[in-house]
Amino acid sequence: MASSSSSSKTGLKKMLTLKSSDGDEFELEESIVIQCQTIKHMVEDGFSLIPLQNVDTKTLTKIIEYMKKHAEKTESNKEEIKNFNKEFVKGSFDDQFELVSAANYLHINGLMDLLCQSIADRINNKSVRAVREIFNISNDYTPDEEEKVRDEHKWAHEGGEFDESLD
Amino acid sequence: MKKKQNTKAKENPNLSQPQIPQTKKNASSIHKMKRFEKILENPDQENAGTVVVSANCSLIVAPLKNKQKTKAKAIQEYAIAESLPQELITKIFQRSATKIILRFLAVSKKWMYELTSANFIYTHLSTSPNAILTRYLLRDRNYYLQK
Repeated sequence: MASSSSSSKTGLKKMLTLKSSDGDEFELEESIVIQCQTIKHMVEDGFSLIPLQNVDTKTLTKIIEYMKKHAEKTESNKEEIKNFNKEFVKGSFDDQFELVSAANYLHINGLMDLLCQSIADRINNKSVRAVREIFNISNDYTPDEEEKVRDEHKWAHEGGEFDESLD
Repeated sequence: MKKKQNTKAKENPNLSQPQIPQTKKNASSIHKMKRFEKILENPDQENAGTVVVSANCSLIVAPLKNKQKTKAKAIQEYAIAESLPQELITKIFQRSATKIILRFLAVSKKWMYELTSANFIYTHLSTSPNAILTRYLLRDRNYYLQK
């Protein structure tokens, strides 16, 4: 039943092509892609082939997976989407950062919220040193300065062991 | 990262130079390239790694064909790590509790600057109403920026 109704609609559905920075093309229905504000504006301007210079194939595949799933969001499958989201944010930090950059560039608000929240949750219990590694930040404090900053907020550095792992 | 670059330095003079056409137009880029090779060969320089990667795209990688892939990958990895802009880091920390933000002030001076900026504090305030952060950070900001 579902397939017959969708096939009768396909004649009306507008298809869009997304092109990743690696040159791979993905054809999608407009109704799916419209979640992404950047593309929505391009569609309104009449584009149907959309080159995404800042998004590689690997990231774009993940993002399309997300958009497809969330396009079928209804009242009844809330639990399913929740589980999907949980799985979606399980990758390495580097993958998550790539996704978050892409989501920011494409203006997919739901995905942005999901990723930022999951990254924030994952680093909650990390040590300062681990966070430097994860975000690739070089420590420009002198040991004395750092000691001073830590001393200023002693209570924030207390409260059990912090996680030194990088994943 | 640094190790990779040191090996690159050894390969570069042999592989890249014969392939460059000696036209007038290229003279300046060859000159530049030699300069970067010098940096490459000098591992003592603190910034050797960064200079090389940004320069690589146009000056050093281009003439090398067989090594191109691994280098391109290295550059890409570097670019990812380097390109998570402060804007996004801010967006992530907007969702963190006050205590966690205060702990990560010790990460670097740049983070101290960003996470105590008025902009960050007010947005954090609007997403998670918590007067403690405002009070703590505004005091700290004055303290650190006076120095």
